[in-house]
Amino acid sequence: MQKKGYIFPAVLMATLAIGLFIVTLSQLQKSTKAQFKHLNEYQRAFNIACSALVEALADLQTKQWNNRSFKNSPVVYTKEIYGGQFNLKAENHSVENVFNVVIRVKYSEKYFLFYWRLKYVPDLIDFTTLTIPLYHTQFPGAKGDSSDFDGLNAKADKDLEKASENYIKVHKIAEIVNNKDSLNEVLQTLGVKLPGLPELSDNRPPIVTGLPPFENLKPRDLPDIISQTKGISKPSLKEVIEKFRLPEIYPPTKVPDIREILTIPLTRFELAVYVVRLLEIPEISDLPAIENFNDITPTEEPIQKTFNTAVSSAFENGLVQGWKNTFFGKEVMVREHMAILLRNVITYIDNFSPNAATTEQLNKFQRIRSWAGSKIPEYEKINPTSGLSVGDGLEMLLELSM
Amino acid sequence: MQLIYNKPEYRQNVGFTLVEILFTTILVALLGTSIFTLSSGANKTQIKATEDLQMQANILTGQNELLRNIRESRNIVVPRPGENSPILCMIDKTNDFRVFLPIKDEPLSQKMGYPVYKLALCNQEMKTFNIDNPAFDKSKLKTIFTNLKKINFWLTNPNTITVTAFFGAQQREFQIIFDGALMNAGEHE
Repeated sequence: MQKKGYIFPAVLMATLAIGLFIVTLSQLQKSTKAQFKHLNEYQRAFNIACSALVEALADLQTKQWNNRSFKNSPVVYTKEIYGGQFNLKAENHSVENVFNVVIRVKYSEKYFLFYWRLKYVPDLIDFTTLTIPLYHTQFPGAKGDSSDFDGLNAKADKDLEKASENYIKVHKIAEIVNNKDSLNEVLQTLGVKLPGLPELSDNRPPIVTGLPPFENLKPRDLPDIISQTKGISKPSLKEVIEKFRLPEIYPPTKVPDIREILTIPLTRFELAVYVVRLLEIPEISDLPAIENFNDITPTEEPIQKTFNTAVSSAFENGLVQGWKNTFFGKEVMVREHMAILLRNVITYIDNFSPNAATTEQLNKFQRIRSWAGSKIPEYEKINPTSGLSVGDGLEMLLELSM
Repeated sequence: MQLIYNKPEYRQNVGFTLVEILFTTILVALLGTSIFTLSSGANKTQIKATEDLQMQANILTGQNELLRNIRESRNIVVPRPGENSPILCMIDKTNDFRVFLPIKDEPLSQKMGYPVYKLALCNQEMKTFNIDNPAFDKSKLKTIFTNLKKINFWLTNPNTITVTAFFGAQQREFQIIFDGALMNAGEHE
């Protein structure tokens, strides 16, 4: 007779356990998604309120002030848009040409209240703007479910009265603050120079043109769309890492994902490896760098050995000279020194015998030369003493390794 | 009548053979290992996801609060047009000063190993403010962001401020950029 045993129940229980585990994970993911959705409710509610306000202002545009829909009595209506609902009330204010718009938005079972007091100012020069805002306030979250519209008018009156009282004093102080020569003085004048502030310059902050830089965070893999628009197939970061054998200096045991070190400073040793491998300079076994640089000593440690070889190759080909017989390999590569290195790269390319290279290599050298020429002024003029990051070095390889 | 049933035979089958025990043990071990691996991987992912979620919550809540303050303000005093400043100083709807400034978070900085700031809001009321002896009650500081590495306020035009902020968490970094426009820029009555 066949023995039944416990194999089938064991398999059944295990399958059940895995099933339950997967169900739990998917529930967890659902709850995470719900929390993200919840966080953006204010922005969505604000979009709905602005759309509702545009409707109220469009009414003024089409009918003009004398025929406005709320001329004789307040206009109240409810409408559903963008997955939410708004309840709008437009009414005259006691002052001539002034009116109030209150918009209560219901989104995801939550209420948000937006209040505008506006002045009708017909302007023949700019007929697209018929109103100016006198007062605007918002009540997000729980306070938004207030239905006491009259209470809002009273609050607006009170705030505007306070604004009137403060008007002269605040503008006088604003003028003083605005003319201060540094942010330290600004904070001192306002009595808020608190402990723990970051170090502030003695001068005013720099004027920025264009988008402010996103410092300390370097781009990750170049998006495909860039290569598609340019019609050039750029390699991925992974391909570049493999092509330049970078795991030799960033061993996977220490750096599992190279993208996590993009923001750390780039040392002169690392850059020597990048440049020698970019220019496909043979890595020599006898190490002249050891004789010429006091801070480079023979070693069997694999990473340092790679560095020593790269520095020797770079030194032999006139790419690096060091300073007073010292290479300073562990120092961070600063931008002005990078400019010097790029000048040496251009000289190396100009002296390269075309007979010794393939057409592909010559084309690549041409690209590197042109890139280096365009980068030198940038490195020399913009923040010349600031350091480069590993991300900057890899970006160079990504750009030039095609 | 004698009831005959195969009790002796049944008793013989109560135990397990060595093969059964070995097979079940191996199977259970295999399943256990795979569940443990899955569970440990999921646990790591969950920790990372939780940290991401907390940072997202910190960033989005702070962003909403900052945007609401900008929208309700009347004027921007610092930065001047074009300046890229770590401090934002505005005149609010009641013509009081609102100053947003980063203040070092000492315990978190020690934990992270690099300087981390809180973005604090100081509301300086004009009614009680004395420019000859300016003072601020620190208990009135309000935290807008935590885990802040750097923040810049850039006045792109007199009514619009562009905010770029960088945040550091245990395992990754976050950055945001957004614009906020004054909605109280008209004259008061």
